[in-house]
Amino acid sequence: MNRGPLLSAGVMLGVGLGGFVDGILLHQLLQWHNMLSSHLPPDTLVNAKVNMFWDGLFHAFTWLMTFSGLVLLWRAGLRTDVPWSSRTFAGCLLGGWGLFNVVEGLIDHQLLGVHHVRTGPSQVAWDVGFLFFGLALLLAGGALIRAGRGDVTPRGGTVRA
Amino acid sequence: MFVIPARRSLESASTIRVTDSGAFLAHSPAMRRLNALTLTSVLLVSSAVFACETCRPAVEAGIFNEHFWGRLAITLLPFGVILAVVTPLHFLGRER
Repeated sequence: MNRGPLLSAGVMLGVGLGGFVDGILLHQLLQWHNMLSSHLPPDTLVNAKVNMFWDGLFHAFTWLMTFSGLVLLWRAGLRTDVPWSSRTFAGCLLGGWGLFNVVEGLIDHQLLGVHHVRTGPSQVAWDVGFLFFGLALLLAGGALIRAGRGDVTPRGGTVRA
Repeated sequence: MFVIPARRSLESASTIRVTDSGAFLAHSPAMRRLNALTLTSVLLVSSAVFACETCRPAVEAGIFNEHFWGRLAITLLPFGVILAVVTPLHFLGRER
């Protein structure tokens, strides 16, 4: 039995969808930050458009992550040695979202400071909250993945040892 | 600032249609063609077009400058780290 292909597919999809939550909700709808908003505050039309370019690039790579996850999921579904577990997949989606938040939060917010979740007097609290939300997602995802260990039936067939 | 001229033209186009009107003029093919031509002409020479011409070089200069490769690396770094985590997961998931 090989859970690896389903794990990687689910995590990639979770990373991609989590990235889109960040990009769509925080960059575009709430407009709390942009990719480079700490280095290049979007306070002029030109700066806003330059930030828009880097946001677009971020979205492009997020799309590639999602697409790769979709391809991996399709391939995993064709294999007879991969257990088709809803709990494992849901856990991977949550874990992938959490992984995105933790990695992006640590690198972009804490380490490089290219942007913060919400710039202002409470930006540290928002950044730490973002990290803890990511950790909570990772823990919830991990619990679901562990629970999915009992699922052994592959998609449309029996497990090949 | 960029929208005002186009908006004005829309208002004037609708004004012309109403005041000249009579049902015949407002709905005749010739009047509709004239309205479309007027609207297109006004939009083409409106300041929105010129705004793009003056704005775009500044935006391109802001993107493709000496910081470009560093910013690209910053944008890609989280994805690289994530791939480094997910790739082993794909191959090390074998159990029993």
